[in-house]
Amino acid sequence: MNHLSDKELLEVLADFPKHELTTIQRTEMLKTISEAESFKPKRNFQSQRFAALAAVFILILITPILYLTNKSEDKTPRTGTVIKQAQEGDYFALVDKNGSHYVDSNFGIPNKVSLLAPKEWVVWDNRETRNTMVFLWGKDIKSYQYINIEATHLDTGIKSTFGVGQLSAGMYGADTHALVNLRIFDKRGKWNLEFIVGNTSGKQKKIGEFTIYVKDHYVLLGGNATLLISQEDLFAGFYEDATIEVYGENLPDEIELEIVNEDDPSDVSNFTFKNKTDHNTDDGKKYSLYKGDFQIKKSGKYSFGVMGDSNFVRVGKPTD
Amino acid sequence: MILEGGIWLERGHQIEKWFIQFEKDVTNYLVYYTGTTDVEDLVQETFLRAFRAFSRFKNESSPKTWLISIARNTAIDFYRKKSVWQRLKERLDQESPKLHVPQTEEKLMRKIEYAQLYGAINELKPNYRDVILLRGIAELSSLEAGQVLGWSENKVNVTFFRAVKKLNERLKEGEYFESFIG
Repeated sequence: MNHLSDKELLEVLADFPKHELTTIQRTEMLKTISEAESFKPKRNFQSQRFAALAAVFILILITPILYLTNKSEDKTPRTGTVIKQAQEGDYFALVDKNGSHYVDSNFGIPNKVSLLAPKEWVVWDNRETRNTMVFLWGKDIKSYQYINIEATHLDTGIKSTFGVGQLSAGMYGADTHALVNLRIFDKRGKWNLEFIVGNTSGKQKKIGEFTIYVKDHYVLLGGNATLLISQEDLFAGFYEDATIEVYGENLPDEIELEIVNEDDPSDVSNFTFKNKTDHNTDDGKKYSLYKGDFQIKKSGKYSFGVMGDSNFVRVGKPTD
Repeated sequence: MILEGGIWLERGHQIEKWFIQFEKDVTNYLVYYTGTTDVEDLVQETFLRAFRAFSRFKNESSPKTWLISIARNTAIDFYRKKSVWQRLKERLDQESPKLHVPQTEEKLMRKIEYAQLYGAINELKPNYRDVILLRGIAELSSLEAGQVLGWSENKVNVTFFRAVKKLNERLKEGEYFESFIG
């Protein structure tokens, strides 16, 4: 026999060593799943109505106090409000008895809080951070059950909840960790990320705060495709191994990135993107990623497009 | 609200049941898909995602197929822009000389010949690797693998056929045959 048939390959693969969780891991995980169930409010209508009435009553009581003290914590501050930049975060390795982990992606404040950061934070993008890991340190951290991440945009003062998650066991030298589903940023610039832990009794504690920089959005190539390079990083030059993401079904194995100079429509460049990989989002949408190189000869106004659809793109100078 | 809460609880019980039933399949698939045994968080996230997305499960596929599909997406998201395959490939490319079997495979495999086969699978292009792992490791049928990848059954069969052909060529180049074919 000098080659594997389809059937033989399946038989060999079926004989590969099997891997499974340990009993402890399995028990912990079942606990987490059952805790996820308890996150849904289970109060019936009567108790909800009672809670609503109580809230109105409390509001009536505290309104005069709020009016007199006027210590506003509005989510959108008044004109002239200055939001101070928080502490600068930094990349650092998570260290445990098995060595160092996530040396180039764990970002935050050592011995306080960190998260697995993307290579770059980009407006409208959560491809890399849809689910990320947050690590926390602290003596009493284990008495808390959840984490809230509040994000404040420094230029506008707009504040929003950026992510929530359940705290789990310690990992990679941190006292606890959480898988957090992060929201997207809708504004470029600096954002303060504030990490607050809490428990079901309502007790909360701020663990730390640091600043990140969010780049302008990726280059859009019509309605269904995106060149995964931030608009603010697009200058004249040669781009190697760039990625284009295209949503849709039955997409071709190769696509052409067409770059048209808006000032001189006869100046058209085409670049082939291939090495297609197919993916599905959790809600069943299909998309493919393509790899390729391209070149922009000079700064100016361009139209970038694939598959007959395009968008206007301004290619700046590095000094812009 | 009581009804909603009841559905919520029922959903939780169903996911717990599936966890007990399919955890091994999901874990095993993720280990070979990512090339690491450190998949605990990915497994947990897979089942939490299944819990959150339960209303979208419409019995069009089996629970196992649905969970493997979520596991694959979770791994892709977790390992960010670069696909797992690319990361593995980069690591494999860094290995020298070429015939040396990478550390990851040695850790995963008890038999060296299996490690070599796994290494060769990891060198295939992403679609080939995907279809081989879904058919061989997750032990899904062509129809089920198609549901995970969003492909027709025919496309799965054709891609699998081509993947096996390419794998044989690679194995031949590496002279691996004698080690695992009797």
